[in-house]
Amino acid sequence: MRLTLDAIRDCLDGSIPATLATCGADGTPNVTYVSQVDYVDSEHAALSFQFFSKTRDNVLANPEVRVTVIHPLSAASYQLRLRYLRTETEGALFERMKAKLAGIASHSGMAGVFHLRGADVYRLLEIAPVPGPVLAVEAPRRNLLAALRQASARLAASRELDALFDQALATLRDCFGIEHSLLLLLAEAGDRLYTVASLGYAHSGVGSEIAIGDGVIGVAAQQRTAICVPHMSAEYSYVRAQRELALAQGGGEALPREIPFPGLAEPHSQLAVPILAGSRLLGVLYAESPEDRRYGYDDEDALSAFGAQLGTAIQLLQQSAGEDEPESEAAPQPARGAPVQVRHYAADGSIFLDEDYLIKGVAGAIFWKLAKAHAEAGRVEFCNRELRLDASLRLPEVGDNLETRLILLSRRLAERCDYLAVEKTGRGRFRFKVERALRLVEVG
Amino acid sequence: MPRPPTASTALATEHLAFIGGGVSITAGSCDRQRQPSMARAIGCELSADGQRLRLLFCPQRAQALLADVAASGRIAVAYSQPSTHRTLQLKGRDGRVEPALAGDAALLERYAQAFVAELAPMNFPEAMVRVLLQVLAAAPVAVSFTLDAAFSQTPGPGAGARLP
Repeated sequence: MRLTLDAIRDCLDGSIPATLATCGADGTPNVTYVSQVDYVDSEHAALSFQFFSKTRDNVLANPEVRVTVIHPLSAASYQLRLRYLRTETEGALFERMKAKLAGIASHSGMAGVFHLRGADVYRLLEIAPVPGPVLAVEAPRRNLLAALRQASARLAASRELDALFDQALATLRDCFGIEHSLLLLLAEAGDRLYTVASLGYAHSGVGSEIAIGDGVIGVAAQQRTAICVPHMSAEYSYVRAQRELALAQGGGEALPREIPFPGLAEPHSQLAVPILAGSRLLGVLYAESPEDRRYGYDDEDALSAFGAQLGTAIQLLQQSAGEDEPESEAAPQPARGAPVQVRHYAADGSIFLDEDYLIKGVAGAIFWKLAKAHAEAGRVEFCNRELRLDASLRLPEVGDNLETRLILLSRRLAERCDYLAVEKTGRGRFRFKVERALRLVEVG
Repeated sequence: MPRPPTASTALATEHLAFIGGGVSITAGSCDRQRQPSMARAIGCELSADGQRLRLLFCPQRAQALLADVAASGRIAVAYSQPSTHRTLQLKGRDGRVEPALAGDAALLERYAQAFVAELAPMNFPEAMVRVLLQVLAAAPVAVSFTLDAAFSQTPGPGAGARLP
């Protein structure tokens, strides 16, 4: 039976460098090391192109090459006969390899030296095992197809968007053994993602934001593909970048408007997969681990499939969240304690409760509208539809992000104070609970 | 213009020590149709007269490479130290396939121990390294060649530079 790249995918995890033999136009052989041979599909592999070299000249003059790869556990060697097709310098494959190479580089002390110029795509002609006995390999710790099946069933059982977000991360933990994870959703403007749920951190980080294109999460969103960094890499560390930014700002602003990213300070494995509903990007699932090489190709595949299912589930629940139900009676809420100053900065919609930053953007604008309606007319009962129709909130035409913004606001309030809450009272309806007097101050 | 063959001893002492140490050794050649072949070498030393480099191979695991070297004499050998990425490539045009010598069993074991010691701190167990260096025959075979050209291939700006 002819072997394809599927059969030897574990050899392409980057833990042992591959070797590449080429032959020049004049018949002179050349041998070199390749940091990364990436699985593209069963018939295509991509080699990291890092330096202009004799190898480069040879490949362009004579596209047929030999590559030897080694299984990281069994030490089985395979010789691949490949034919060079093209070099990609942007896009999903390039970004995927760039992220992996950054991890490999920093793990092997070559950060700043290894730099991906391109992803060289080759067609597989033949795989020949190098003969001889090899080491036995232990069975994987879990069957990811079985885990995915179980995870699908759990997602299908969620009836509320709010519960679905937490269920998704609990499912990652229970079915895939992922102890640290985040669920981020795409903001209306499409330029950033905001955290709506997290699992396995001291601080939830709900409301923290990542720009599209920034790090593992931002690139997964931009390219709509799984991005994995197999080792600790300064280049891809959010917490480190945050710390460096804070130091550069010399102690920070008087009133910080960023919710800290909750991730591990030094993740040794990072994996981000897009949450897609059809071709539409809804957000990103992010998993990280203190272990090196925690996520392989199979994890990328399993989580990508899970991300697509989650996207469909989110879309379904967002659509049904718009249906109104009869109004329920508001319970009277007596104010207690000293009044709270609520400041609203019109420029970015940011809200401060006394000196504490709460939220900004669309969720901030929603909060301000609720607070004003409460102050002016004592209102506590609201429906999604009136928010959707309010031009000042600048919600997009397809306003299905409203529900997720309300969830974000409700989670931030639950974390930051005990006297304000947004509670669902039915489909498309909610209550703004206020237990202390609010003093509203509009700034700028 | 190919340079005339020079003696192996033209290599600086530091390079000779390097290629005789616990480094990963991969050899390549090609056939008449310019199809490359490659194999892992499992030992390296200077010939007794100091004029040629000798490499050892498993005859089964290096079959295509040995055939190509025997036919064309062309050989390229990359030596790389996993812990530092220091890499050197040597090339020859007069490669010959030769039977093993009496001392080759000792050379195999000396090399295996050095390579195991190099990889141990990187968490590659000895059993793995021994799989890579196995010989599926009563004895290894040798390839010898005189040095035609040497290049530094250590990753970085100087990669590919010809050594003086």
